[in-house]
Amino acid sequence: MEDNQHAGHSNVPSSGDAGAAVPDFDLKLALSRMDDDQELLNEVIDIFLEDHVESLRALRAAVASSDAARLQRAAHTIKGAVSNFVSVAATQAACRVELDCKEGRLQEALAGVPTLETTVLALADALRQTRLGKAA
Amino acid sequence: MKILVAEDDVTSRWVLERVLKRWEHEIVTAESGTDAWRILQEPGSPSLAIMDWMMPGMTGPEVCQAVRGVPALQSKYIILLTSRGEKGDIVTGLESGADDYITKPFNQDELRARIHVGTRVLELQQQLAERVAQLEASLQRERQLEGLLPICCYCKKIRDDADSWHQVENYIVNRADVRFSHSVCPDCSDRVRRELMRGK
Repeated sequence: MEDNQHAGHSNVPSSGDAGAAVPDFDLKLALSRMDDDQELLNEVIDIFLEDHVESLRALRAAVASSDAARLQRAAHTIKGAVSNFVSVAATQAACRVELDCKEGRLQEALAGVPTLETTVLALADALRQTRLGKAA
Repeated sequence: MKILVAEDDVTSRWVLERVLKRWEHEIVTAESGTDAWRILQEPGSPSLAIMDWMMPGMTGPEVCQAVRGVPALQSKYIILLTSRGEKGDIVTGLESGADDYITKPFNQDELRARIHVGTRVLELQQQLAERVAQLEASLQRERQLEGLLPICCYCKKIRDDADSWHQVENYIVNRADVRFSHSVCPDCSDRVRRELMRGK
């Protein structure tokens, strides 16, 4: 409920909807959750920018092995990371993959991976721009 | 307080670590459930753990179950991290042995309040354990005054369980909340007086 009020995103991609990702986050809400600690938020963004490559690599490895448990775990980890920035699209894409795996729908989960990748990369780009904008 | 943070996502782990350090807690981190379980079994391990649900190796609930299966670890206070939309799993998490849960991404005020609850529970457990130990020691001392006490027919010393002989007053003083004030009874008074007269 808190997320919806602040984020106000309507373009939430569905499983397999790879091209529809729109970069989205709510750094104001993210900041308030971190007790208005801008330094901490910047550090978390930097860690995410560094770490998301590895997270996506783990996701792709899970897809290559068609291992539902591994894919569920990879999606769960990404969900935790992107939720720090109140990224509705990325969080929901990760949730979908995780839930599909959990409920035994591996094919649907695999179909949702491109959307998840796209939304994560879009979020990373947007966060990178934000950091560059702040640094300039 | 020393707190274990078990979370495989480096971003979330960093946020937790930074926030908890700012609140002056000592932090130990684990990147998997298996690591968390190993750390919790070590001597002097953290009394409070904040643990993600899904981690490589063992899941958070699996670590909770393992902890609750070891009597020496029963007092550990475990807060499970769950994501929004996983509320159906909360009952499972609590039944696995978690003491509390918090949803990710967490609100700092809520996290602080939940840690405060955990700290209070741990302090109460500690006080209760100390009180029980005191009562057991007291009961043990009192038990030594019950039943059959071997006493010397001549000097009236009492033999303890370690085969040592003690003056009766020392034996009782060490095992009961009493002190002796020395005096002379009328019979002994007469006897001593007669002995002194004879000795003159």
